[in-house]
Amino acid sequence: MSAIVAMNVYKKFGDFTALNGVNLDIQQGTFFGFCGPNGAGKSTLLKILTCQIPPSAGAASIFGLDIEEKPFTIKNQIAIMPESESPPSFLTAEEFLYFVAKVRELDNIEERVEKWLEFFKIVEKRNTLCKDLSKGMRQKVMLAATMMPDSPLLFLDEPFINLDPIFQRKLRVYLAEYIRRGGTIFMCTHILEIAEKLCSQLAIINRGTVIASGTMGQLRIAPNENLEQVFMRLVGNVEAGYVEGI
Amino acid sequence: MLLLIKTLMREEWRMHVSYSGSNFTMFPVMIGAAALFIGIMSEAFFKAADIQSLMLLLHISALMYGLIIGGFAFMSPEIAERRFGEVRMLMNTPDFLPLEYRRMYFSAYIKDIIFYASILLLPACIGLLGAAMTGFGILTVKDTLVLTGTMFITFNLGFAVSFAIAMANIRSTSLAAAIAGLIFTVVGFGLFLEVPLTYFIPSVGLQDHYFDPVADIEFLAFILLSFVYILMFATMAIAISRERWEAKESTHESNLPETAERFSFFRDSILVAKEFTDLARSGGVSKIAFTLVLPMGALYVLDLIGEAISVEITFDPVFYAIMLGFFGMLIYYWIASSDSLTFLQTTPVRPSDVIYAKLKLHSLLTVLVSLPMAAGIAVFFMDPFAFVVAFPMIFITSLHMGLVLAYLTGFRTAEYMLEARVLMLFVILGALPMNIAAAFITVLEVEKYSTMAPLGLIAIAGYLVAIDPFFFKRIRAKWEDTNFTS
Repeated sequence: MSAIVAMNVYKKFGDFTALNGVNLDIQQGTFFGFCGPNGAGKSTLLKILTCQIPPSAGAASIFGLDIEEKPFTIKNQIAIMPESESPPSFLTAEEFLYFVAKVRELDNIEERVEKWLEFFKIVEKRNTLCKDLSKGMRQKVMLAATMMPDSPLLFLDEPFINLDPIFQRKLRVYLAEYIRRGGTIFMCTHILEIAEKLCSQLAIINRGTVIASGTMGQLRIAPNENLEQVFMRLVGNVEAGYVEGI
Repeated sequence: MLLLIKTLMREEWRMHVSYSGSNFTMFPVMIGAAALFIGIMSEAFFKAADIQSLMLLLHISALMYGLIIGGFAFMSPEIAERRFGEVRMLMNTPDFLPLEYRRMYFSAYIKDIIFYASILLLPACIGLLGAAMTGFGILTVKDTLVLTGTMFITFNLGFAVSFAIAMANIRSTSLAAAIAGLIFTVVGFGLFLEVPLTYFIPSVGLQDHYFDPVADIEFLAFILLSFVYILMFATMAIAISRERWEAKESTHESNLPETAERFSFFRDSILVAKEFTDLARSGGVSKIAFTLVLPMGALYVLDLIGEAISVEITFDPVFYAIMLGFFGMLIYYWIASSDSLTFLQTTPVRPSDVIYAKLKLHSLLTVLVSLPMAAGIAVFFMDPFAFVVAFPMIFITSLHMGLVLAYLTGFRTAEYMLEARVLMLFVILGALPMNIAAAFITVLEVEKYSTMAPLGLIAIAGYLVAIDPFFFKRIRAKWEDTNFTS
């Protein structure tokens, strides 16, 4: 069954076309990696699929629910890790998790909050206001809030970006386990190495257009080609000053 | 320095335009049109009230504009950053650029004077000049230039005082409170001891001398004194500004569940509790207290000024109550401005639910604030019955102002309040009924046994009670499709 379907999705901001007819069909249980250079339209598509902004044209659905007709039903069934780590300034880390659990009407709130405070080692900072946490800690708090509901579909926008290597690894292991349990992930990332290791399906977007998609095997043209080489070949390595072998 | 001022000016302009689009440009146009109308009708105004009272009220308005805008201008980067989360303002660039904070603050001070005088005083001057040049009204071109010129000086005085207090506040809240308290005490006692008002606001003296010229030396003395005051406060502000500080890590007991339990009589208790927590921890409670005590104190000082210069300005408990209720809108303003809501975009929470939660907290705080304020009025007038009259008046008007603000601006109050269309609707829906009520009170002052005035006041109260449920219900439809991020 399809978890995410996008049909000819367009998004315009004034005269600028951010998405130019994007089509996707992501099956349940897929770890989907969405890669592209800065400003290619990754976060815009994620915002459309998670009902944060409407498309200018086209249609999309999550678990068969139309994003424009059922935005709140969809938001209840998914979890979103946004691009910027912005938990509310004046709640403590613990209070923020409690708040998210309440508005999502979760059960066993205290147990869940403790589990995720412990998972990301935020226990010592549980009473610190979010505004006073370091960037990495705020990212962990946002990730904890995303994982806590145990939703069947996760949207992650650059989840690894501010994490230290220890927590990058811990998160990678958790996400792999989550997929094994039948979950679905849509992840935007610049970290191609992680995307290659984790994702079962990949798509590369450039200037609002999906220029390639499929499994890693389908994207390769040579047996040893890695995702970085695929990316450079497709997006253009001349402008990037790409040097083979580095 | 010039580059910094120009860049800050561009940032300020773009910030306002991004809030409300090109509608923002309508704000000065509206002010200019209103001034043109006033200029044309100036003969009628001068017949209805004496010239000294009118000029004094204009200068007090310019002073208040400087004081209020000065405070808000220096808080706006903080508000913008909190409201939008991802927005970063130029004001914070000395953190990572070889720039001194002092230089940045001073540039921002100059920018704010130019910007805020340009959007209000300049169009007002142009409007009045338009009337003077076409021969309508009784104000000449010279009258207009002297009036707006002296008002600009008064505005600068208010702005410089605000700048000094804002800079002190960055160093320590107690220092800011001490400076504000000292200024208030000196002016209050001075006026009480019948020290001429022109010693405190010399530009009023300039104004007076133009309309009743005396020796040139006194005129020059008022100019000199004006600049000494402005320079003194501006220099003090720069001197006490802080160049660097370490951010403290604030910890609080995680008591959101208990707070939500306390608000459990609301279906959306968690949202109300979150709003309350934001307000309490962002210093909102003291801001509310300050913004309510300040107008009350200002009215008291205005009363003293009236006595000092023998201008008849009378107040009664109902007038005070209405004024305080009017300023009750600031409670909603602070609730709406306490923090960024961007993170809510990822949760199954509707924007209208958040506005209702803010409104519920506003209503609760209105009850809590109305009680001591009404008691204060009763003590001030030494009349226990005044409490019975003042309490419902403060409550009804404050509730109404909060509802109007919530309906018109949602959770973007700070951004939308300078949009011409919103401002116009606010004046019609919010300020107009208050002004009509105040006019009925003035009738009562003149005609003690007037039957029209009490009936008018009852009609206004009835209108507010009848119209408020309409606003309350319409909030959901109006803000349903809005977005937490844009």
